Amino acid sequence: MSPNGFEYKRVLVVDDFDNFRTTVMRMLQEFGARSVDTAAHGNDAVSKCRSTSYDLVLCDYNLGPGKSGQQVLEQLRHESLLKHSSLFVLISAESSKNIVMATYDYEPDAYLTKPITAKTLQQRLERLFHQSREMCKVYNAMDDGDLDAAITRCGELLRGQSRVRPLVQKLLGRLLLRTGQFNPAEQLFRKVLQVRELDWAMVGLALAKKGQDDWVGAQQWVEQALSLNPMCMPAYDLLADIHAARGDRQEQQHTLAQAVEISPLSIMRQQELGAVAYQNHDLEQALEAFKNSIKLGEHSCYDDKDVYLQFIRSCAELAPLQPDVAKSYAREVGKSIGEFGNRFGRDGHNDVLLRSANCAYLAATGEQLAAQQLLQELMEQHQESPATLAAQLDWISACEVLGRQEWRDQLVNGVLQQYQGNEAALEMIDRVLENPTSEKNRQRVAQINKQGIAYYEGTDFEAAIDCFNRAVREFPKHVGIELNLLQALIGALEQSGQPHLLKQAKHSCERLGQLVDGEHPQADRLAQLVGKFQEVSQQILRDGEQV
Amino acid sequence: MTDKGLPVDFSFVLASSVHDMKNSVGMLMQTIEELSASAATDNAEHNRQLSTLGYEAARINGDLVQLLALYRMENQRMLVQLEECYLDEIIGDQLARNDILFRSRNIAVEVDCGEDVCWYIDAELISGMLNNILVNAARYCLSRIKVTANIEDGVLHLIVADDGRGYPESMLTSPTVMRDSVSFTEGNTNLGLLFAQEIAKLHRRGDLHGYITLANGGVLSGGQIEVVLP
Repeated sequence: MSPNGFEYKRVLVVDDFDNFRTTVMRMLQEFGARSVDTAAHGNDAVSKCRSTSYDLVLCDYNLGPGKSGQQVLEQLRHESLLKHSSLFVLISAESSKNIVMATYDYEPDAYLTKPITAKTLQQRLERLFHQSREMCKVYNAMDDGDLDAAITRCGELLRGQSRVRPLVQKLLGRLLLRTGQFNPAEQLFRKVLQVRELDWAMVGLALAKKGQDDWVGAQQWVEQALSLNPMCMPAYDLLADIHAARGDRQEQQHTLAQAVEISPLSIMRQQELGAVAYQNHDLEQALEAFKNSIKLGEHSCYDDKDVYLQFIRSCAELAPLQPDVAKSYAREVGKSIGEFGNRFGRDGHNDVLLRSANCAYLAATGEQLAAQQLLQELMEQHQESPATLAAQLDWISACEVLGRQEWRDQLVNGVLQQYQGNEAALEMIDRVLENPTSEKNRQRVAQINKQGIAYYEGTDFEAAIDCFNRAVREFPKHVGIELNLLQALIGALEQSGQPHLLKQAKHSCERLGQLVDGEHPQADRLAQLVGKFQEVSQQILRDGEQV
Repeated sequence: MTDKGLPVDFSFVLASSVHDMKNSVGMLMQTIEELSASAATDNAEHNRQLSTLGYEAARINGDLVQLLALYRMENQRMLVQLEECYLDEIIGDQLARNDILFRSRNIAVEVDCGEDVCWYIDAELISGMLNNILVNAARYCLSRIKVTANIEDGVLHLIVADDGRGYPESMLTSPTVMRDSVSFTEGNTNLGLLFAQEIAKLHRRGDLHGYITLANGGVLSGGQIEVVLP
């Protein structure tokens, strides 16, 4: 019998090719394995793993229609169906970048590239079993949830002359971070880095710094990791976190977008990019990321109904601004609306959420009658018990487009009252308001205005324009900021007469025309600024003719 | 549309096709492997033919891998991801991968690598490179190949020696110059060496970078290639 104990291993072979399954199974049996199960598809593999605790899963990447090998691994880890000592080996016919990068988030224990010879397989598996045996005390402690014991065992292994040392070092670093032991973690990573510059140790060190609230140090190390390896995905995630913690959502989005470009198959990063882009009112990027998330979610355990709703909502919000772009997503939105019930169930709660998002979408895409009818139904249905905030916000958007000012005001007052003091909810509500009510966004507006006005008063119009432009992106409905932007643009035109600013100022006037009606408290200021703008622009055009 | 002809970058088209071909060859190799496993060993002629199929497929595969890697290098998408690896594992894997080739040609492969030889390399790149070197050595050796790995003065030396006729003089002097008159009839385009050189160069440590050297003579009195990685 094989000295490396294939005999008592429970093995699962997953491949959609019958031929390959049989070949691998035969090989394993020749090595001495007695218990080998097979699965042809991802779902079959997952359900087998639910009923049996396998020591080894050999899974092909490409499993035909349905889940991919990566998604099988994703779900097994998600549902904790694999012990720490279990081995997941991903087999693929190719080492395409997307695949490798995507699997990086849920790393298998080993990759094998087809073709697989008996000897290669045996050698690799024996080595993996050996490794797993050496690590068993650590893994057992982790399976028991005793991370402190696992850390102690790692220390013991590192003191001996073990071949698993590189593996243990990495694992120990992760365990120390997870248990919040940032100082020892930092020491470990520094020791590794003294010998060699390695990206994972730099990211580890950055995480340790972040744990110690040293955000500057964290950013330095994470940037160093990225300059060493521009494809280091965990570094992008951490960098995005750092930007988020600083409140710099633009940079957070930028970093996530970079990461998504390198590794487009990672569903969670796509979802996060969509959410951040939506917050940033970058609806085009949000739509693209949500679309990709929905596509990737088809067979993923991370498929999320909120992503569907956000997708529909983003398209509704973009429709009045860029009808052509929004139109290009119409087919996908239609498909998402159709699929929603199949995927997430048709209970009353889901039904209201979907119809509400759809209502906003119909209103924004010219289906006024259908939207009107849907809105009426929804509001009647919820006369007694209020709907969720997300649904009500969709109704508010629909009211705005449909011109139902009374209903809108009533709904807005309702949610403001209902969510009084709930900062997170208020931040969401701010999206449909002209002036934000949440503490955070109010401070943000005040801060931006203060800074922009200071630039303006110092006649640094360029800096003021830059400042207000960023603010307009964050608070597109805020009349005060838009007026300040226009005023700064006029200031710059008066100062230097740069014709390229004319277009922007004109655009700003148009936007304000939509936001401000005759009864708006700022209507006088707008009229005054528009008058001034016309004066200045005529002057510039005259000057241009003279030259 | 440009007036030069194709509306797309030809190297991109080539790389995509190569990628696709590589997947097909992979399937081909897997099938040959399965065929070899299921066909009994009683028919010597069949075995020989299967071995030829396997060898030629492996060569095509190796060439395609190289082409793809060179394409990535040129487009600066080739990154080295260094990890601590045990060399006996890297060597063992590549020997196992070419086991049928060696056995069918009666080549004896010797390995001299201590259990503790562990170095910072990009396992995938070095494995691909070693595979090419071994397939090449199998072609030019008489009956023996020796693989040596050791660490001296803080650098890794990975040496593959054979007992063949050795490298032609022109290659010894400028191994990685792509000559204008590539000898297609000899089936030797130096692509493999260029690939090995580039991979070695990508392995850096501070100001140092890796390189390869060719020699004749060596431990088995044939050709010898040495890969030095800092």
